Amino acid sequence: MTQKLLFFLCWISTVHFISAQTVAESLLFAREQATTEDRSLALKTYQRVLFFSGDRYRDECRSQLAALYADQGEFEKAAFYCDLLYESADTDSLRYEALFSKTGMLMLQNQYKKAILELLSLPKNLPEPWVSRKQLYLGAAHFGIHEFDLARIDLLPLIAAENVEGRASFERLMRQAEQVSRKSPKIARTLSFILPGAGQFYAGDIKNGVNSILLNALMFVWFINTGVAYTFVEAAMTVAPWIFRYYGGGIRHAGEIVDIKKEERLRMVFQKLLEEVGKPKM
Amino acid sequence: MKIVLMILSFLLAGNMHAQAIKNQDIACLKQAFSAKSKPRLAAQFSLTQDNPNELQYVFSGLFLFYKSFFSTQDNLHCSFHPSCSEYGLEAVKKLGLVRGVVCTFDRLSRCNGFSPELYEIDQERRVLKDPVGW
Repeated sequence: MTQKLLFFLCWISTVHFISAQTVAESLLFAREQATTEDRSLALKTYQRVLFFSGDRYRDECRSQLAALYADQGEFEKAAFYCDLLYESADTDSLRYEALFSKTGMLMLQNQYKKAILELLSLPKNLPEPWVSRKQLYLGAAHFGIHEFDLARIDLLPLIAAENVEGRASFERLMRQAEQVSRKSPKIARTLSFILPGAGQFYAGDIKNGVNSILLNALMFVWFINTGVAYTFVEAAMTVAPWIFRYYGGGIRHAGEIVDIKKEERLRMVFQKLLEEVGKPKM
Repeated sequence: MKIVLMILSFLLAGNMHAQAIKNQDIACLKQAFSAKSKPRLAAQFSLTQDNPNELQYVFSGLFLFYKSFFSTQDNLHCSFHPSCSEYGLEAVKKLGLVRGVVCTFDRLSRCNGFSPELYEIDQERRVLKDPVGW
């Protein structure tokens, strides 16, 4: 009995002095963890704070969660938290920031059309700094979906009218983008159908073009040798499947290579365009 | 890390100058339109990296040669995972030259898609599962 009483007293005194971590303390801990290398703990803690704090630290938690998810390459979740922040933000400024961040996340996922929809949801009477940002993002999204005329309309006003050289360079890059986008997978496939490797050369992939032409030549020589050594019926039965495999593969890959190379080059052109747009106005 | 800094600066800074905003936006868009880096072939197939003897070194080299110059031009896809070439390399590495080569020929003779009911399906890759075994 005495032992039980003693145990009870010890327990009650311990419970009295022990207190759980408060939401504010958790938030401080999350902030501290966000500065470390491994941010997974910060992510969990911010989620806990968001759940228990109600509206108090809501905006900070949502913005931090968006940032942490973006850091982990989970852009979809980051966009989700930007969206929540947009819904809950008290000021227009924070709301627009959230929307532009979400747009950035969508662009990182190559979802340019969704980004355009988000940007078009902004009010028409935006104050000046936001207008420029909207134009920049809209231009990028239009460029992403290969709408170069619209991208030109959005981006050109971002270069000062006095900057003649910059504008000329911008026009040259836009023309280059239009030229690159005109490359057609159909033409590449047709060229590879006529001459193996030609489609790859058309796409600008010299290594794959040489590879394809050599491989097909090798198969052709094998076919002729087998035909001469045995009969052409036997050559057709043994070598023809291999020829069709690599000849057909070359045709199919030529189309795919055009798309890949086109995307690569357009990205390079857009990087240069951004450099032009990013130059400070005189 | 760059993106975190970018978003943090977006969301936590209250009153920003128009020019500063523009620079951060450009950084974001540069990231979004950056060239997608393609991993090297040897890095894609970790099995080719660790070669304790000359035989494995030669087979890893042959595998990479095949993957670079033949597989890239091929019209067909292997019915299995791992693919026949990956299976061959793994078999030689795990089971030795003789058993590995026998297993590889056995696999090549089965790679026709005529008996899918005999194998489990790899749901992610939509091919049949056939790991190296003796």
